[in-house]
This record gives sequence, structure tokens and C-alpha cells, in this order.
Amino acid sequence: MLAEIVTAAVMIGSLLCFIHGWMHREHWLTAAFFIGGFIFGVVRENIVALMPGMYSYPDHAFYIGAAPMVMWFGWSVSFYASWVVGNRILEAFAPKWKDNLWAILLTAAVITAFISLPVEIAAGAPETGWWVWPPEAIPVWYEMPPIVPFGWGGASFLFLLFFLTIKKRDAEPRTNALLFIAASFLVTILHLVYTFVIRSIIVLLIG
Amino acid sequence: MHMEIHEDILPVLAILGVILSMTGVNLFIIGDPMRALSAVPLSLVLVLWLVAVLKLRRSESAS
Repeated sequence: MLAEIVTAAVMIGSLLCFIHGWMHREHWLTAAFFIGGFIFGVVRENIVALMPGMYSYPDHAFYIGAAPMVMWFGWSVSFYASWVVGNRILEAFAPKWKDNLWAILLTAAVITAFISLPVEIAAGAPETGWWVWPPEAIPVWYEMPPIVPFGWGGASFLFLLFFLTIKKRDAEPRTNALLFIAASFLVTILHLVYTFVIRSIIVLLIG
Repeated sequence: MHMEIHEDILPVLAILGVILSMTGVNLFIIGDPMRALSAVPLSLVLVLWLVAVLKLRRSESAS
């Protein structure tokens, strides 16, 4: 039942971020952001479940295939909150960079990577059964393998790269929203490739 | 347009919720307070956000 704690934290956070997007941003694009995050979470976790040597989610109440409810919304809320908070920090401390795409992406990626730490370590995700790492995973801080912050940060970078690039297109918001929803499948595949490249580099360095 | 602290408050509350719920699980279920150190970088991000908002408000009121 411990999985309901992280699921509740994610659901409340998602609702807050969705309301924020609806109030401050274009409605179609806000909907596309969270639908894209939903697709990313569900498709990605189902592909991961088919791969050997990856983590699993043994103790959740609701799943779509192998993707537990926490992952349906967990990615998008992390990306959205990191993006908003990161933009404000850039605006105040590096105003020259506040409209620079790469600065926005890097700032959001670092914040998303920081979100992964308490979820993985403070709450001891593998101990609470939220997800379980395979025996071959190399822990660097309690049970956390080094791929975790890189995986989360890279996901934020790729997702926002596609979202912000498509958002800037000279087209109707509805068209851009639909294009981003379609692109979220590509973001999912790119992130899986990225994860395997980073994992291989980590194994070469510390394995 | 005036920069108000409540403009970003909903995403900030979402992050604060992660920090509080995860450290709560840490203290009351896992029982290993040293793990709470993992929430320090994210907590510093929120501190930096607060300083950023105050800095922007001050520069707006000065202009």
C-alpha cells in the first residue's frame, strides 16, 4: 500500500500543474503537454517491462499494461514544475539566457534530476516497493543506480526540447498540440535509446 | 506586469509536496534520517526560486 503515497503526491502535483498551465498558458498546448507526458509514461514503462535487466513496479494498485498509475502523470508533472521554476530562476539570475532554448532545457533538466533524488533515496523507492532494481544494477547512493538522475534529467530535456520547438511553430495551437502528442511517441523512443547509451557509459566507467 | 509570488505557486507546491511526502516516508516508514539529505538539492532550488521572485519584485518596484 506504500505505493499509494507516491501516487497521491504525483496526482496532487499533476492537478496543481495542470490548473497552472490552464490559467497561464494556451489551453490546447497545456492539454498536449500532459497527454504527451501520459503517452511517454505508459508507452515507455511498457517497453521497459519487455526488456531484461531493467526495473519493475511490483506493488501498485492500478496499471495500464505494466505502467503503474504513478508513471501516467509522474513524468509530466516533473517536467512542468521544473520548467516553470527553472524559467523564473533564469529570469532573475541570468536574464540574457532566459529566452535561450538550451539554457531553459538544461536548467529544467537539472531540476528534474534533483526531483529524482528524494523520490529514489529519501523514500527508498526500492525498499517501499514503488520500483525494484535488478540485482545487476550498481548502487551509488543507498539503492540508487547512477542512471536515475541522468535518466530523469535527460527525459526532461528531450520532452521539453520537442514541446518548446513545436510550440514555436507558426501554426494554430491546436495543430501544434496534435503534432506534439504525435511527437511524444518519438520522444519515448529517443529517451530509451539515450538511457541505454548513458547506462553503457556508466558501466564502462564504474562497472 | 507585476511579478507576483503566487504566479508560480502551484508548480512550487507540487515540488514542495514531493519534498514533504518523500521525507515523511523517510522519517516515519524507512526510519533513516540520513536519506533525507537527498532532498537538499531540490530544497535549494525552491530557496533559489524564492530569492529569484523577491529579486524580480524588488527590481520592478525600483524601476
